[in-house]
Amino acid sequence: MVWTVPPTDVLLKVLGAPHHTELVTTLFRLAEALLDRGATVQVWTCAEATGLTRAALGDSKPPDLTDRAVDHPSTARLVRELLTGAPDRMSWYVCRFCSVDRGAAEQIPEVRVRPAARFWEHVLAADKTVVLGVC
Amino acid sequence: MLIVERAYRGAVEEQFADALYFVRELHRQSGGVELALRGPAAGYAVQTDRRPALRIAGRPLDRLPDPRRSVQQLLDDGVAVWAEEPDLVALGATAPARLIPGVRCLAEHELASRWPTYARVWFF
Repeated sequence: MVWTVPPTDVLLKVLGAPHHTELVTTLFRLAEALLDRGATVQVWTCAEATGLTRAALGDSKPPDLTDRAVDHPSTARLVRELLTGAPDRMSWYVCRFCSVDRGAAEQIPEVRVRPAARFWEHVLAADKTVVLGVC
Repeated sequence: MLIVERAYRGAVEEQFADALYFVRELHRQSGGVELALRGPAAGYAVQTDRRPALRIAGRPLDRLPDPRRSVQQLLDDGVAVWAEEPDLVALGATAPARLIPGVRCLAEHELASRWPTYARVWFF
């Protein structure tokens, strides 16, 4: 059977790089707030944002040298927890072109890598599209 | 002299590892640095009683960057911390009065005039 994009209330398309601004914090807060209100949400990451779910990140950030006992979750783990916490209402897609172009082809298994040429299907599957950041 | 201008570079990604974390480590490795906060980063030197919390997928993220606490740690470590006064004023009329004790104010253009007194000047 041919897979089609499940319809959602909102598509959050994310461009732009982590570690530069509060873009990623905004993304997580928006997704969390939408889920809290019972919405269905899909995220599509492009450009450097595809690195948020890079498999090589593992579950944790490198240790804090001043307090090694504390575990700090990676963005990949936070995305995984977001997905497992709302499996029927939350999905996360990664642009294949962008992820390969930036050496982030290896992604965590919970996300779905999609061809750039299929992006518009996601726009059509969402009642509302919100784009965050720029390349 | 380390100059920090860009502020708030991604709380979720950085968590404990913000720019000031590495300033502290450079201070330890080099034997002594000074820190100048300007632009939006001048706000790091202004006391506030509000620290927003963040929860993702039920997980509270309680180790997000806390720049005021980090500035206090740097002061405790012996780092001279400066903040540019025009940038403090731009944050609000009361901002200069809420400067973290120990942080010193720099007048406009004073920072560049001090560069010759430092062995290295890094935009950080």
